[in-house]
Amino acid sequence: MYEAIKGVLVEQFEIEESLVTRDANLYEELDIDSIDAVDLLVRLRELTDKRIAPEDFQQVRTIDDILDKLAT
Amino acid sequence: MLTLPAEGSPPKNRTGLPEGVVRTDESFLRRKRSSNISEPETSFLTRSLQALLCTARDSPEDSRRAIQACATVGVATARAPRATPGPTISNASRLANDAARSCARSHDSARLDGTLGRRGLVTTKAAQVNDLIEITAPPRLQWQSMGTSSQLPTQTSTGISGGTAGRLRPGSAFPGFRSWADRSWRLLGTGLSFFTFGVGGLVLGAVVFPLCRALIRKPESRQRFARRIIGGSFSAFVWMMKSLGVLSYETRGLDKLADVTGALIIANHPSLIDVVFLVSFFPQADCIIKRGVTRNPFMHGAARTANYISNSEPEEILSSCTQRLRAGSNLILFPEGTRRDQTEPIRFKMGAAAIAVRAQARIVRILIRCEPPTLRKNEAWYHIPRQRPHWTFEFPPPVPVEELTGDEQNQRRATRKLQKSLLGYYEYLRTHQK
Repeated sequence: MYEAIKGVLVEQFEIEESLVTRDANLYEELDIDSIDAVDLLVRLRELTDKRIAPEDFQQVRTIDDILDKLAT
Repeated sequence: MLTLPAEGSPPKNRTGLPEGVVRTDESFLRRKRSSNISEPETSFLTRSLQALLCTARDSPEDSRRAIQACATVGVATARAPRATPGPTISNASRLANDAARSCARSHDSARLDGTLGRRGLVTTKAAQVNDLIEITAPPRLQWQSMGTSSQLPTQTSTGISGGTAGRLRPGSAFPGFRSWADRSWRLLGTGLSFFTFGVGGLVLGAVVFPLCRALIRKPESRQRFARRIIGGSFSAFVWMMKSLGVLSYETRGLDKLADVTGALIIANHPSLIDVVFLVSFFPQADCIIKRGVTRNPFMHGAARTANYISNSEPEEILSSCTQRLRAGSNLILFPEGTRRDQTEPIRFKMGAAAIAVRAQARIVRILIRCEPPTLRKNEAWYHIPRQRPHWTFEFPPPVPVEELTGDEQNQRRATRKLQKSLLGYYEYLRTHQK
């Protein structure tokens, strides 16, 4: 799953692969903006068939947080 | 005889305020309303504030001092007789206002409050300073502000020819009474207008729109009809406020936009009633309605009948806005997301740019000015400015989005590029337009 998310970040958002780690801050370190976050949510839903509510996603800061949200 | 401080190094006394500011300030306070403040005094004041500001940008300590100085000066000038002539006093007060704002924003405000010892001092004083701007600032100068405050024009002709209200009018025996009567009338008129607006909304929401939903089956004609009614009532509201003398407004270039389609209409958002104006100008355009508003049963009915976009999940807004623009309707949007003061730097949310890029829409970048500012965020309707507020709406021709993104094909990069371009455009206008 982590690899899939990383793939999206690298391919769709053109983030340099070396920057993407499990605990990199999406907004500060990876330069994800609010619109990217929406797109990321959509991609995640396509990938996992699971829905993270936008309110929940607001607390998300790192890829690990995303994995946590997906697990619950 | 007053001595002028050298640029960049104001003389300071033990209170930390530049010597001259304190002295001038005290003499202002002593005389209060009794006599005129002399021209050299105010021009000196302006210059010492300017000098102080040059040093105030970098450290919280300097900022604190600058705010304090500006605030006291602001309060002092506020107490000065209204008949004080000349542009220098308005320059001084404008500078004080700008300074207080920019300093308070550029540094950690909690820390500033701590050093000041009393929480809220900065904001209270800044508010007082702000209030005084309405007395003295010439109307045309309101929009251009902070960015240019360090190169302040000391003698501008606008200062004299501009803001007449609140100053002594030649031939008027009771200037105080006249301005009091004028403000009271506008207070009454504003109250009456807002009351009518509320009642009108109630009638529309309780009677007209339910009828409209029951009688008109075809969704497209229902939407068109409902929007005609909303546009008409908003026009009537604007007309009412104008006829009562509560406000005045002008539009520039609106006639050229009569048959624009598929355009994203964006604007800065200085006042509460911007949207009322815009909807009355473009009655058939789509709007996004706040979620809180759609919960109100009457508003909900109106928004549903007119088929406005409800502010739900971000993903849905993006897709429905894009869809509607592509289908050829116009969409009104305030990229700031909320009202913002004209003196503050522009900040846009990404939504507008994202929608424009996704829909490959044309963009109409409206500039709204309101002078003197009124009905701002956190400002009650009964806070009536000293002069009748005047709205100016500038409508430039629509620009295709590709022109602003430089034909960038990657959606994400194009969105960011557009966002930057829009911000630059509005910030330039904000700081340069007169």
